[in-house]
Amino acid sequence: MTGEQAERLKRRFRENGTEWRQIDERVDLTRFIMMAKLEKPYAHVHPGETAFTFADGLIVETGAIILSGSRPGARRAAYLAETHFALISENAVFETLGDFLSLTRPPWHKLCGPALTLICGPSRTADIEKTLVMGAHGPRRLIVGTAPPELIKEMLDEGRA
Amino acid sequence: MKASLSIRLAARAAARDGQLRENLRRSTELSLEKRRKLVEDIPNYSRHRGNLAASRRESVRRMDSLLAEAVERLESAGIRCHLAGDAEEAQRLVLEICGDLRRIVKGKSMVSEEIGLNAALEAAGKEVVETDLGEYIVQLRGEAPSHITAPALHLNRRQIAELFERELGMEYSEDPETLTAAAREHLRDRFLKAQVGITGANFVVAETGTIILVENEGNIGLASTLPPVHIAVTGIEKILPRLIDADAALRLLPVNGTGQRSTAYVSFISSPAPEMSGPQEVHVIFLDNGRRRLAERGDARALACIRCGACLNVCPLFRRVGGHGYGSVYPGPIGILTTPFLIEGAEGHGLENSLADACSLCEACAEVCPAEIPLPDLIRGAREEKAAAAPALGRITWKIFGRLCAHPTLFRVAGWFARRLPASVLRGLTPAWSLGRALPRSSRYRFRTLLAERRRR
Repeated sequence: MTGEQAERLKRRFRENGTEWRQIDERVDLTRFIMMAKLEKPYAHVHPGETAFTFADGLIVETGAIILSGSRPGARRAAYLAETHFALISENAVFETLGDFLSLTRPPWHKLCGPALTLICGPSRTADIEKTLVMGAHGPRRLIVGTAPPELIKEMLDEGRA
Repeated sequence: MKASLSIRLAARAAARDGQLRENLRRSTELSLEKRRKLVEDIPNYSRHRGNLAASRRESVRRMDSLLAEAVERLESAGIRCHLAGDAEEAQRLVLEICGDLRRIVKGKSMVSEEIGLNAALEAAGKEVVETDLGEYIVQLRGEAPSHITAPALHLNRRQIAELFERELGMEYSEDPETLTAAAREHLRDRFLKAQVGITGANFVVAETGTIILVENEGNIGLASTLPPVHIAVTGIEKILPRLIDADAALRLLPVNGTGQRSTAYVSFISSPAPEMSGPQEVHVIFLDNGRRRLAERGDARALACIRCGACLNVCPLFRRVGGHGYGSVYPGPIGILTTPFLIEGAEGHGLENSLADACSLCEACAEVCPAEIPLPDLIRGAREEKAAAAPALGRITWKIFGRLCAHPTLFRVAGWFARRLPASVLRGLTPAWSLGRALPRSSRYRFRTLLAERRRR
């Protein structure tokens, strides 16, 4: 992600109500995961709990995170949780939705699994007098962490060992 | 003529309701203002609009072949497809899929309103609950939604607070946050116990066999990931040829619908969920219910609609009377065109005729429509059809009036007589037109005299 992209992403995240943690060091990554109270990664989330997901990428134009259903239960958890923590590799950045769609077109099932969701901020409604309320049926908070891919890989390797 | 009169009365009552008008004015203006800012801000907006319009035209032109392609792709990925010719068949299909399963949660879907799905499910003993906040509110009130994207647009917070106090047994509160939280609490339990989730589908992609769901609340996400069975009900005109067509569609739908750059959630569903992580059974019901007939007998261009509701928000008439005044689940300019074909019982009751009148031809809707549907042209067409079928007496009167207008001397003579006739006689000459219109008293000053005087000065 370039500095200019990061600036625009920051603006979109603010508009959408997404909280953003830019993670550069291992200790920050550990802290992010501790915050998410990661016990059973993306397996079963009960209502009111936090969910932790590995998201697949970001779209700069809208500030959407891309969450594929290739990891079973991730999407369900992302709707059920009170707070959704999503960790994303900072090199998985698409400029527009069109860029993402044209890339994924031919091997759609292989790349995106049975289902995929683009998420722009917490769940919301404006059905009562057009007043915006965050946390309609889904999470009240969406916290996105972006980290260098090698840092995420390192953490995953350690987790396996 | 009976049904047409009842629509006029509904519209008149709505127009007199000051509360309703204030709610309508505020919320439509807010959506339009947010929309306007985004349209200015989004680079190449008109190019995206052109792309969407072209793709929607292709969808309508190739409706049957795209349907076949979508069904093939969806089925090959394990999604079961069903074709419903009319509302009754669609209701039967949903009931068949449900079988013994009783507890149903619903996401917002105009098509399910169109086919009267809730009533049919309840009649069969199912427990069905709307989960979109606005839809939940109107369901509790026993009403129909009044706007395509904002179902409870016609209500203010006091009315909703009273409803929740009565129906949910909660403490009276007008705070939207407290009201939303109460609905969330009540519905969460229904979600967790639900056996079937029913949603619409904003689009289906033929190329990849993908169902696209667009929403803000997360209720459609829950309805399509928690229950073991997910049923999506959609119209046969909603099929996009290629996945890349979703680019323009997903950009323009939220901008024009709710004035958002993007909604909180956009889901792409391509097969049932693996390892019990979501519905093991996914069904799509493709509904005709008059769409092919509209393409043949009406103007097929109306089928390009993506149900964003922008034409409702700009319509001066809609902004006065609201959705209920139209007496159809599809109100506003687009509703004028689709209602006679899609809503059962509408045709043959004179409903389409009276709806064609519900337009001032101001053309604001044509300016905003993201699918570039020339709505005013189409409405004009519907009026011409109506005129051709109007009572002979009125038709003859108008023909004579047209002639008189072209001949100044004849006009002057006719005017002299007309001023001396009782109003009831004049009204009787144009029975259909006079319905719901007041005849002004003729002025003592004639326009021609005034004009001549001004010229002299």
